[in-house]
Amino acid sequence: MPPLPWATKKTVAEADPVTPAVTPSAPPRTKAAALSFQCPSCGGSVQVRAVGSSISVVCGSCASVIDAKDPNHAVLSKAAVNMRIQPLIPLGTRGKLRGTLWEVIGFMQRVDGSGQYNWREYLLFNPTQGFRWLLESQGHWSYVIPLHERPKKGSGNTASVLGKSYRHFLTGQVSVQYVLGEFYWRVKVGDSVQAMDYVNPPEVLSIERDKSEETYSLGEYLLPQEVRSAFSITANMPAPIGVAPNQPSAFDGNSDLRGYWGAFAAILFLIQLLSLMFSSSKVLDVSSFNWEKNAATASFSTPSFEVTKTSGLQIRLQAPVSNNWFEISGDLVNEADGDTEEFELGVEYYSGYDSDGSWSEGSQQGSKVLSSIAPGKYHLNLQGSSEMERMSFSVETVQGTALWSNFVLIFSLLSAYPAFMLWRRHVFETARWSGSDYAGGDDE
Amino acid sequence: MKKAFLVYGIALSLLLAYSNHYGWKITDSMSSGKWGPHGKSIYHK
Repeated sequence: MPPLPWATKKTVAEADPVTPAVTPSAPPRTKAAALSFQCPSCGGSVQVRAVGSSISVVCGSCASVIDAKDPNHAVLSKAAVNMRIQPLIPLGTRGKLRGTLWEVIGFMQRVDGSGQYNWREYLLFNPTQGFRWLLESQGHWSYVIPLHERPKKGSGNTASVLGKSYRHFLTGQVSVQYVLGEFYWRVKVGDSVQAMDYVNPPEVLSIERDKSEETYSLGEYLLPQEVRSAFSITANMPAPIGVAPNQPSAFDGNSDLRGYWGAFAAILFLIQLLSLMFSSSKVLDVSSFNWEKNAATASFSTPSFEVTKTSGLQIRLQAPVSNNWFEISGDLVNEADGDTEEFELGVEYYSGYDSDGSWSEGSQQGSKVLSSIAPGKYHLNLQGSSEMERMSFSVETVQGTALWSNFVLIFSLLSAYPAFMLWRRHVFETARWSGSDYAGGDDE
Repeated sequence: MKKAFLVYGIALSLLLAYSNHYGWKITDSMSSGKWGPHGKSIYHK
């Protein structure tokens, strides 16, 4: 990513973009004729559109910088034209942006200190409003207003202006690579400044500094279609690449969603709590059995019990196993229609000693919940198995048990979408800050 | 989106209250195909 191009252009002193050279109260000069003359260097035609406001104008043919204020059009500097760039929005194009009719009078391409990343800046002029900038970097656009208020240094890496705080994004050296048209300062290829950018999407605060002055500007992110529509651009717009430093995140407006999530999480917890408090557990049956491995029959039945309302049925098994296991395969039998519900339930318990002392794992108790059993008379048919020879075990049947699995499942379902959005936001912000001085961490 | 999430949250809250009231273990239904508190199978009958 390039060091950002957002900084205000040169010298408010030379020609203040908003005041005083071109004040809002100044008489409209829309009818002021553009000034045309021949380039004293190459003889090409040169036009000045912001007559009286422009300080310098660059000859489109030979790139000589000409003094726009000088009646003799003195050449301020000559430059070898080693590149030619056709601006996407040609000079002289007019377009209505933010309710004001602007004319494109200047164009420049600037480049970061590494020389790898460049971006394009269009100078807009309106006789009563002054100057604005339109910036295009990697297909992302910003509308930039020069500032007269000096930003204040905030806590940490922040700066604030006009009551808003901005986080430092990048500091770097930027220089002019190509220039065309007229400007409110003396510009030439190779001009270099230090630029510092601070972001608070969709805005970016830029501070540009050179040996003699410091200038400030505030940029606002624009959608490419806004620019296309404003200036009736028919050519292909550059496709946006990556995430711009001041690009608003589509995943940032989810504070309401987070609020809803919090509220529903509390509601779910409350429902679960109330369910636990008011679930009237009722023991329907407790039966004990003596199981033998080689007995003629290893099947057992409990006495009949009655389920009085639709509820979960908890089967609790207790068997005094030691370094062994015991398992029952059971059927809950509806005595009215013979329907059965199968289940399996086991316990295992192991213990011993090793170099760390005594240890144990497992339990001699286990339970299983049968989901939503309708009212009626039931009994259990049980069949035991184990590696032990004989075992006494007991089975307790309880109606109306609270279920935590439902809470866990539903809470997960509630959290899935906010978690997904949070992840998307993280990815977006990581992409944004990957081009900053804080890439690779400390970015959020 | 916020409205949809609001409806979604209300539906989940009702589902929790309903399933708890009837002792309906939803995870069992997911594996058995028997949905609802009276356990009607979607595979049989």
